[in-house]
Amino acid sequence: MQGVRAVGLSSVRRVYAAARAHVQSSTPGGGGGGGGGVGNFLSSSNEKALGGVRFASLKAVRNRMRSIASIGKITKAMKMVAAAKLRGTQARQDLSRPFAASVRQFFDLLPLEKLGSETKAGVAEPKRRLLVVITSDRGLCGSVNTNVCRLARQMLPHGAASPVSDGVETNIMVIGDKGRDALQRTSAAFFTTTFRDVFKAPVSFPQAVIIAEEILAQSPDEVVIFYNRFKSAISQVPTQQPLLGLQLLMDNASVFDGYEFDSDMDSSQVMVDLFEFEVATQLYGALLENATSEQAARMSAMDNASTNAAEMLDKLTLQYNRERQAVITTELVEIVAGASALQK
Amino acid sequence: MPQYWRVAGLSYLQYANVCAEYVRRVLKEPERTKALSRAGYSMIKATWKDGKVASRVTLESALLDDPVKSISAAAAASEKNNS
Amino acid sequence: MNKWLRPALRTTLRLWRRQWSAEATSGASVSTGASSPSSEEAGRVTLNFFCPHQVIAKNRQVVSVIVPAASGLMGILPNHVPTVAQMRPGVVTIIGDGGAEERYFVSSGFTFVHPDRTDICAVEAVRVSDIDPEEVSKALADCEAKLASSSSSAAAGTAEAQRAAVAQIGVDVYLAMQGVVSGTR
Repeated sequence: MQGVRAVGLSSVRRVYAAARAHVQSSTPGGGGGGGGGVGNFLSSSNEKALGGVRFASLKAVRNRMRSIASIGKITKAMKMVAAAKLRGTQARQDLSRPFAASVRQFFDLLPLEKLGSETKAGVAEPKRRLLVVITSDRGLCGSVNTNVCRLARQMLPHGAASPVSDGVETNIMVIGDKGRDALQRTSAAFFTTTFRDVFKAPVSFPQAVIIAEEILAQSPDEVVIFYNRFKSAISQVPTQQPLLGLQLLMDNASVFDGYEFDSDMDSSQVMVDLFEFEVATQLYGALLENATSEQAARMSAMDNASTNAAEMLDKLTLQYNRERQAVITTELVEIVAGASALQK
Repeated sequence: MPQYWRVAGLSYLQYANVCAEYVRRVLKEPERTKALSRAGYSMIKATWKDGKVASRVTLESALLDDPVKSISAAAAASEKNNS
Repeated sequence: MNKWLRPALRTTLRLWRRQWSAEATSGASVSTGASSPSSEEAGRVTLNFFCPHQVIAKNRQVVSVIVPAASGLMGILPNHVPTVAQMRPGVVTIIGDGGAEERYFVSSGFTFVHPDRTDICAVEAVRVSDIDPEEVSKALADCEAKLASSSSSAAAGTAEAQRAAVAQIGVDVYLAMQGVVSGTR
């Protein structure tokens, strides 16, 4: 939330700063406020050009106001769209969360931490690790994409330029244009596959299956999915979810001893199928979480932007009125001064 | 004994996808339209090699109309990737 | 692969699809029944039935459930031995109070029978009443025709084999379905 707010603010602040600079540069003496402008004008009243400048500064403020008003309208519309989309994805997610959760619960029987230490101490064969980074295709949604990319970057071998480092091969699969753009600059060598337009239509399970196939085709020893978990409309948590590779799962199959495996074929095949199923369901869950988070983040980012635009418009209106009054005042002074000169 | 679809080179997930698609196709309206619309997708996949895009494919839901293409699209790309 | 799984399945394979007998409950190492005083003591199965896009049942108390496990229909009553069952295309029957039945056709997926609950995770599940019997026979004929044409021209080749397999899956699914919608199960 904090991050979302900061980005929303900073982008608008930049526009505002530009507006100020514009106003100030066209006001002689750079007083900014109406009073300064008047003082300056009075002290150098016989310079011809000033009349024009005075007019231009008013016009600049008016232009700025108009553009900010329309930015405000756009952000407000985007907020409405995001809110409507959020309702849709959230409803879909509520229905699909239990599905992914119940598959996950079964695999939670495997104590991950314990396995981690065992494998580190164990064989030194090169491990293949695949990072699946889920981001959105479009921006203007706060810091959700940045957060996920930052999290993913922490998993990359430090300063390494090639995928294989310390016997661990790290590869990246990016879903969404924003993550691709963010990671491409530093880590393009790690990329194996990127997807785009995944979130164009609502995420479907067959779609998750296709991407899961892609993950499985690279036969990694470990898959880590990075996504934003949707906590609420104002809170999205960047999350990394590790999935064990098939090999590790097989090595530790004894934790499932309490369960019978029902199948009409080779018993180890059930485990393989179950593993594939797990990858697909977890990916599906993560995709939906991220889709919901994206809309929620966009909604609050756009809400902030609209608020800021309104605030800025108020300030500019005040400034505009002051300046306008100052212009009237100076004109009055000129007339009075002219009249009194004639009287003399 | 492995199943016939496994022999033919289909993975479990592909099998599950195909089964589900068959089920969706024979529903009564309006369930059929609803089910088919929530199962559709279209996305673009890019395969990378040495920091550059090596190939791009559009993946669309056409599982039953052209099963071979949608099944082997992923496989072909991964082969290219490994070689 | 067999090698790694053997310890996991050595014991469990013996217990193949055994119902809630005293022997099975004591044989299973996971504390069957003991950890679930709330849900299973009343002689009910706590059922969760999920699809990727739908929640059909959540924490519903039912008398029993029948799922189409790969090796045959599997009836789940309270205190069933913990099981992971792969499902084939078929019907899940939920039996509630007074024998009221609810029937869903599932395409595939897994059923997890935990000590305290049963989770059915299906890729696609539809009410049997939502299936159009005419469409089923039409689609079945279509798949059979495809299968016949592909297998006759099968001069090997993975593409052809896959096309045949996909048609064969269709035949399987629709045959299972036809039995269901015509009422014979």
